[in-house]
Amino acid sequence: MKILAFMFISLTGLAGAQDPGKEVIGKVRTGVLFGTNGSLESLGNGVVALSADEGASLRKVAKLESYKTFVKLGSVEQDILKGYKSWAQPISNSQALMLTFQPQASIKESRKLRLDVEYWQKSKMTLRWDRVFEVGKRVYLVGPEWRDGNLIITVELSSLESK
Amino acid sequence: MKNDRKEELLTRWMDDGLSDEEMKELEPVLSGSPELHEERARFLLLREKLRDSVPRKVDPPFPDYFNSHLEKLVKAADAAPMVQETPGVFASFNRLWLLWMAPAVTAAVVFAFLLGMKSAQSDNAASSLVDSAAGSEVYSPLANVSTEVIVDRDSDSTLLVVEGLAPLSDSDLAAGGGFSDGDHGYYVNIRGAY
Repeated sequence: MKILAFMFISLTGLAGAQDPGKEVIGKVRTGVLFGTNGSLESLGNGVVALSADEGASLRKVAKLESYKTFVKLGSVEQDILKGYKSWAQPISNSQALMLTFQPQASIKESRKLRLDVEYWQKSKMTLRWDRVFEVGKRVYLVGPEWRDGNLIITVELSSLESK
Repeated sequence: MKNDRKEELLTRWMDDGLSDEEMKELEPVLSGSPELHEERARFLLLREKLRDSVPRKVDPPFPDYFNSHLEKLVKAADAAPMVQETPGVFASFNRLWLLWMAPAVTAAVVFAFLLGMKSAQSDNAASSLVDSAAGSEVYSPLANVSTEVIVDRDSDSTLLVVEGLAPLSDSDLAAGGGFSDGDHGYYVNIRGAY
């Protein structure tokens, strides 16, 4: 029996090791920001205020120019796997707002990667965005209204494995 | 000349693959059916056009677009007039043509099947390109969604402004429960999903 168990573990371990799709080619950080004029107390613990520069940049968008405060509600950093589609849940206890990302092509430049990003709202694929992401350059998706403000989803290629 | 030998020589003749001796062997057949030269010329022209119009390698931005494009091509092919069969050597030439085209048709069917599998991720066939700017393309399956891509040169950032999304309610984001960074998230195997 022990021999059988050992063989099973060995074989499953071998199968996992042979999956080239699980190769980590980089990391993506997804997050959710909130622009508001209301009180931040009701948001609970864990919110982080955005820098003045980032707030000023967001205020250039007509839809966001009236908001005085921008905070980060949550974020998550995940591996980009070569052959897998990854699901990101930037706010840990909510599945109403989720993102998927998957690499679309091999790395052409050392700091750039084409990703296919999907925005899912309440279990429905709402938007698909195909673009080249560059390490360290955050991309904003000005999303739905929530409470008295507006939610903004961010996607950032935080690192890329060198080839 | 036996039919099998004739078909073999005709096939290679179409691809300029005959030696001088084989060409001499085939000449009686060609002189007896001058329309074969015309057919060969049309075949070569079609081959050149196909080579010019089909890129050697293409990275499809989205399968939805290619599916609709393939559908359009199939409809156009169906609408094209049928070619009447001709007897004798010409008929055997047509059979050769079919043999030559079979792998191409099979490849096209496999290609369409793979695209169909990939597009299965979208549950709405009416998805459409809603924006294309700044080196990116945006699609939405929802007809009322529109987008605008803004590139902010000062902060060197890109913003995608989405209009038409349904607002989220308090309960959707579990307000009051607190928010925090975390390493949550999961992934699925692409090959298993599509």
